[in-house]
Amino acid sequence: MTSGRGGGAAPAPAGVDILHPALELDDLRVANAEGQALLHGVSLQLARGEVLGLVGESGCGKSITGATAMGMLPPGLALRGGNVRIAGESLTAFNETAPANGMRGRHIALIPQDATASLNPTRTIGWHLVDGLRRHRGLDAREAGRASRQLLSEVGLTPPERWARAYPHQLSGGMNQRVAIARALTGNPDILIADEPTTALDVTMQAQVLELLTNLVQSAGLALLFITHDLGVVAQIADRVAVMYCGRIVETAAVAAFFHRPRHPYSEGLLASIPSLDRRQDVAPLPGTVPSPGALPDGCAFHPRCSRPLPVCLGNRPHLNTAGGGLVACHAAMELASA
Amino acid sequence: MTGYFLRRTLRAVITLWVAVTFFFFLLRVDVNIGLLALNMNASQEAIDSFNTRWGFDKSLLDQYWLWITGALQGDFGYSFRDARPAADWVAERLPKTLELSLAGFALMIVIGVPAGLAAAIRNGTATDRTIMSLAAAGYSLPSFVLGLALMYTFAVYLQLLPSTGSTSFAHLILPAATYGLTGSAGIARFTRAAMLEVLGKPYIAAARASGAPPAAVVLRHAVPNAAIPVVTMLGFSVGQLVGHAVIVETVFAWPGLGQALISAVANRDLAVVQVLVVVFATFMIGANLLVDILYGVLDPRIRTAGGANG
Ligand SMILES: Nc1ncnc2c1ncn2[C@@H]1O[C@H](COP(=O)(O)OP(=O)(O)OP(=O)(O)O)[C@@H](O)[C@H]1O
Ligand code: SF4
Ligand SMILES: [Mg+2]
Repeated sequence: MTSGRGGGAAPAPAGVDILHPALELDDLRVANAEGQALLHGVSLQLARGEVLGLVGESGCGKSITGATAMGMLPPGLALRGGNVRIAGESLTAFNETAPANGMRGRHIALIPQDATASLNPTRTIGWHLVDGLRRHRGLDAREAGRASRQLLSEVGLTPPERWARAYPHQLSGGMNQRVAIARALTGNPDILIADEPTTALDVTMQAQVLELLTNLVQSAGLALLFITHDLGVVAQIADRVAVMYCGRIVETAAVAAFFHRPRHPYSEGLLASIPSLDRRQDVAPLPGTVPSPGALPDGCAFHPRCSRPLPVCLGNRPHLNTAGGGLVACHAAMELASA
Repeated sequence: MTGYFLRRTLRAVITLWVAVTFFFFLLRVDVNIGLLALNMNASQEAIDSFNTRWGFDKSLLDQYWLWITGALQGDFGYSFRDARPAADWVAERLPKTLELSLAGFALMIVIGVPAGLAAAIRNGTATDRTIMSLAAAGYSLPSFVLGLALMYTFAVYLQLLPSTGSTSFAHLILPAATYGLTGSAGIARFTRAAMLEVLGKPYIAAARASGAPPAAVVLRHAVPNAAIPVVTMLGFSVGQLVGHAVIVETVFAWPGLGQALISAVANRDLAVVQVLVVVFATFMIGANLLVDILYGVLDPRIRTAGGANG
């Protein structure tokens, strides 16, 4: 599935305009109501035609990063610093009840984890699409109806007339995920944020949805931020990977390079904990647990769980530095790189 | 869809029949009606002739058969007091009760629903707290207390409105306000809770994520869903409208069914009590049927139960 994509040392796959990122997250700092930092300065760039897999254990801040990019911080959380630029324009509001300068839906759209729950149970599939099409494309009811059937066909729900009339509870989870994708496309966005869009699906449906997303990224030149904790899915769909730990990006790399040679000990640990058929190795789960946002260790936040910490790691926090075509925040990886 | 409605309607008719029959026997079993209707000192002959005259000497089943066949043709027997058809009582007084309870009901909705919506949308703010404190006060205040307070203020003290009677629109204002204000407190609380529940649903977050502006989120995405439980609750309260009117009618001497029921019970006027039972039960059961039907209209999951997937 990854053939021809993200190959080797190539800095970016064909068609990716890295000089003009569609989405720029710049030093995002988010805190909860108690003032504890949940994001400690997250920076990411995402270009059109590119899939960035955002991975990390539960609670590391992946969803909050995605929500901040949408300008949709849940109640209680606040942006304490940093900037989100979508097609060069900065978001000015991050509250989920504020409309985020009209960016949402039109430039950046969300594909939710639980697609069925994201659809209004008392409305038809067609209603949801027409709602977005009229708002974003200014179509009248007839044109919107036609465009909604077009979208349903694009996401593989045929015959579209039939599915447009159906209600969410009459569709399977995988079909509703296609509907959610079609809905995200109503505003012709440049950027899609997909927060674990396949976690709730069985393997077959998961593969179908991934294929659909891959096709959309390639045919429409979309930028896709794909949030997951499944590295297998990342290998299938992503061009680049960003690894998060405790509210920070600790490594970014091209997918092939990452799976060939992860630089950060945390990335190594994540890879080692995937059950694999061909490596015939024992699964080695990461030792210890993720510290809570209020109780981060000094120095490198990962040091209590690290397989080879250095003395410097206990007192000094490593910063992101270039390493092997990507970025890595690790004292040991830096030494290796410079050696 | 049609099948759903037919089943519900049939069930409502059967329920009504069972309820009315139950009351018919309850009011008669083991009771010497003549003894009750006349007084304790009446002679045995007087009692017997009373019972013969009104048919209470027949077996209960015969009485029931006569009553139910009559009722189906609109003949609900005669009042002991003035020998007029019992149905006339209803015909005279039902319009008055409907006038009061519908005016009160309209006021309940007009005040309660917007107040509840505003509180939910401004959840946690001063607006929310103010509305909810007023609602708590209205909820705990018995309607006769509010009625007397309004009567004292507007009729006795300010002398702006008449205190009792039903002859003009001005007469309607205080009873309807009493009715509407006490009822609106519960509706406001219920509407707020329903709206808050919907606003917390993932499909509302998804609507926001899809770019719906705040007004559209509320009006297009949340209100129609919150309307389902609210309409249900309003539908059920239609069934209780006539019953609730009893208290307000008494406070304001409003000549409706409530007053009729109280005097008929006091006079042991059996046929009148019986026909009022039929009216109250019809309202109650009719309201439940209305709710079932509205539910089917509003919520596609009920209409399409079983799935149209095949
Ligand atoms: N609404 C919220 N209010 C307060 N804290 C929150 C909220 N949402 C998330 N958090 C906290 O922020 C941190 C990051 O959460 P986030 O949901 O971004 O994690 P995640 O990486 O998406 O995890 P998962 O893989 O479980 O989805 C966690 O410590 C979490 O407890
Ligand atoms: S900085 Fe030190 S503790 Fe942190 S991951 Fe690297 S080696 Fe381990
Ligand atoms: Mg998450």
